[in-house]
Amino acid sequence: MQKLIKDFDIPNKKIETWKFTDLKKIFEKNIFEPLSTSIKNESIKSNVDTNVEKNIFFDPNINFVIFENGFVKKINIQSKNLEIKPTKIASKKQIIDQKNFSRNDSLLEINETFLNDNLLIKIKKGTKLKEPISIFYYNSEKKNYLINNRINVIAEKDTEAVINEIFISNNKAIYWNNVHSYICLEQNSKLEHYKIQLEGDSSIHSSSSSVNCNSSSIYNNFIFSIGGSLSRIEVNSSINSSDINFNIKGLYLAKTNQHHDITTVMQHKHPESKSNQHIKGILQKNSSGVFQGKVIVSQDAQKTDAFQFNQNLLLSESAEANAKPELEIYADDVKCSHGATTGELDEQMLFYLRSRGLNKEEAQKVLIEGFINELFDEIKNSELKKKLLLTSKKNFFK
Amino acid sequence: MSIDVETKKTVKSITKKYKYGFTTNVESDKAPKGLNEDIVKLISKKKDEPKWLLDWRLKAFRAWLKMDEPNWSMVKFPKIDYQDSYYYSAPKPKKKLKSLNEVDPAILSTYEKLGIPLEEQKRLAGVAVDYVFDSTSVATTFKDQLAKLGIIFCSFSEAVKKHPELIKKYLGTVIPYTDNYFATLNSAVFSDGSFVYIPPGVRCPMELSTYFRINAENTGQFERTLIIADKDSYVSYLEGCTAPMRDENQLHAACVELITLDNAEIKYSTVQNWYPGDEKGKGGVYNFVTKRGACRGNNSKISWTQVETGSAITWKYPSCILQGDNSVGEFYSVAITNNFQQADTGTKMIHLGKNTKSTIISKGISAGKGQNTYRGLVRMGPKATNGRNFTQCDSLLIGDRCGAHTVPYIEVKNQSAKVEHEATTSKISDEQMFYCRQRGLDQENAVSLIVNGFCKEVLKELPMEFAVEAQKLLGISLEGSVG
Repeated sequence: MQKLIKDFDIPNKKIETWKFTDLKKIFEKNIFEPLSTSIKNESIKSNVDTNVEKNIFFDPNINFVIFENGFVKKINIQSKNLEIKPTKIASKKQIIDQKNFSRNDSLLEINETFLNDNLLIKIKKGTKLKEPISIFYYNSEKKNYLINNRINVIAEKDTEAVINEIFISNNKAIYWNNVHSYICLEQNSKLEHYKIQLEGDSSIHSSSSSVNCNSSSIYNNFIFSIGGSLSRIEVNSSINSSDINFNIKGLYLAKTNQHHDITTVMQHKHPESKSNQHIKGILQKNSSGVFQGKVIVSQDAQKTDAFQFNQNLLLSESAEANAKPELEIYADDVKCSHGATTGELDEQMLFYLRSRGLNKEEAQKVLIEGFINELFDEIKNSELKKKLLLTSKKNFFK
Repeated sequence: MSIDVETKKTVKSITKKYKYGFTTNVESDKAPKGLNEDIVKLISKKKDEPKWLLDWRLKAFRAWLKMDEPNWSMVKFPKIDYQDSYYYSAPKPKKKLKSLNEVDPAILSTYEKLGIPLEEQKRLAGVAVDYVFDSTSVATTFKDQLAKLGIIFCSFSEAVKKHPELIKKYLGTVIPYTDNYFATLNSAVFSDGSFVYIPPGVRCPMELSTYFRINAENTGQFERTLIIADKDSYVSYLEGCTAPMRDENQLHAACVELITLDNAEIKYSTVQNWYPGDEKGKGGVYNFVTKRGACRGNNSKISWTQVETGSAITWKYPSCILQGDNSVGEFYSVAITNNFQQADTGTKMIHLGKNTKSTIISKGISAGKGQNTYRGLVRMGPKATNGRNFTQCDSLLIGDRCGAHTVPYIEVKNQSAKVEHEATTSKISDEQMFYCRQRGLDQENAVSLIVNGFCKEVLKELPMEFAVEAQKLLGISLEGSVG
């Protein structure tokens, strides 16, 4: 029998990993119905919505994929040795080993059951892609759709690539975007993965990246989360070999009434790999932010170097920041540490700036920009950095 | 690999057996095994308790029946059969005791073995010791001196008889009888414990101390401690325990409630060295304790210091509820797990009042196959303006078969509150060992020295009497592990 959305247990506070984020509560007020695949054909006929092409992150001269209202609308491949196509493979089995990523919630199951489009991106052996791959998820419907898409990335041996995932809408749309990616990094491959979450204000965003790393691979992840009424972004890693470098930089800017959640699980299973996480959050009126990070170092993963840092900045009395940075360590010869701080803008710093003639708002702006820039400085692509800073300014602190 | 196999063997060969493993032969007065309403009534009747207290116990018992054993902690143990345990046992009362000479000589010699001869301690250390021997207080010292100041320091059952108004007013106000599985069980069947009341403006002139000891076979011990520091008062309370060697696991579910009113301070120190089980993980005490303090008054302070070296399983989160403005909570902890020991310990700092401050320093040491978890919560309520917390938890791993885990929860609902958390995990470095060995210290002393240095921040918070014992304990607990 066909499963319905109501047959699933929507993640809620009873599940330990969802302690601070209650999806079920929203779901009770606002029912989201899975988007049926029969709508697909209609959607393909029309042209790409101009809102996508007008978006500042859009560039017609690079590789791109456009998802519109749940389905692939356009695929544009510029580079050689790059394959992007819809696929039917069950990514859970073929792209990554399911056993490496155990979960205790239903999001992936929901994704699997109601899957709309499943995309395979393969970077062929030895290829160093010059042009990035941008994936746009655009929504314009107000129909409370639950959209399930999936991206499978295989970076073959000795490859280099940049993938940008950009979530946008016309800001009137109401939907729940449930998008998951499975990433397999083969030996000596390098992937830069940007997730830019600019969903509409009335939407729900839940996404995850499950990254399977093989020896000498490098994964640099940058998360930028600013949209949606509720957003949950997860990164799950499985470090299966030595000499792997895994980095996550994350920033959430929580506007009034928003809820942002960044959750990471870092599994060090083999010796001599490195991971580094730095997550920052800024919170405005009535907003709440969550960072949950777990570093697991198995018994065999000696000489692991794992670092995790979370900083939250509260800009309003009614803002709320929750953090749960966890370490689970079973090996003795490791370097693991984590830190977490939460506070408001420093009085002394504000005083310093104001004594130099800046008014209160200007001084605050300077400090907030400084707080954000610490993460943006890590972005090598200066064009992208500029666009992200511009987006932050436009949407968050004018 | 930091230390070669040969060194491991050498260290193992000099491992000493549990130093305090012995049993005292005192006839015990036991209730039948098992747990039901009749047992609860029996305990209450044996203690000649008023009806309101029996009702409270029964309410707790009925609540307990509906509860499930918590399973969220990182400890594993075979299911406990709560019906296969004695819930009441007391040394047979011979006659009323007037002086120490009348105390059962067997009990006195037990304490002598532990290195705390009652007489000597009484005279030299100036410590009033309320000995708890298997659930019933046997002797209380220094009562007269304390009475002059109006300080009440007696067993819980005595307090129920003599000061029912205080018990009625404060019992269960910090840990309600519905709080959690083990606290509720304790509320239903608690045997005895200590009661302390410090009147307004009094600074308790000596450290108050209780020595706990589990003795009769298969006796779960359910202590209940209640300490109230009235306005402008101060008290330092010491709790320490050692237990005899046992094969069967013993359950211990204690409750400790602390209350401080305006400007009052309680300093609560624990050294816990119960039987941790043998090298193969057999036996050992299950230590499931609920400890919580409420800073009710403004400018009040509660400070927890613990050195946890014993028990097969430790499940313990001494917490502070900072209700009063400017109140302060502190938690200093050293937890050692060796062999198959498991510890899941930490604290909760709930900031409710303005300008409340808390400090958490936790040092976890894992050796052998021990698993050590720090689990803590720092919550800044919406009204905790200018609340401040600093948390530091460091873990030291000795050997490659142990684990150290950190699970902090940070919840901030106030803009002006500042919360900082940091944690590190490390091992004893080869350089440190080399340095010590080169200066003539043997492996064991070198480890002990380094571990003592690692824990210094916490040990210095302990009262003098405990600091010495604690330092020795760290060394003893780590014997047989590898440096």
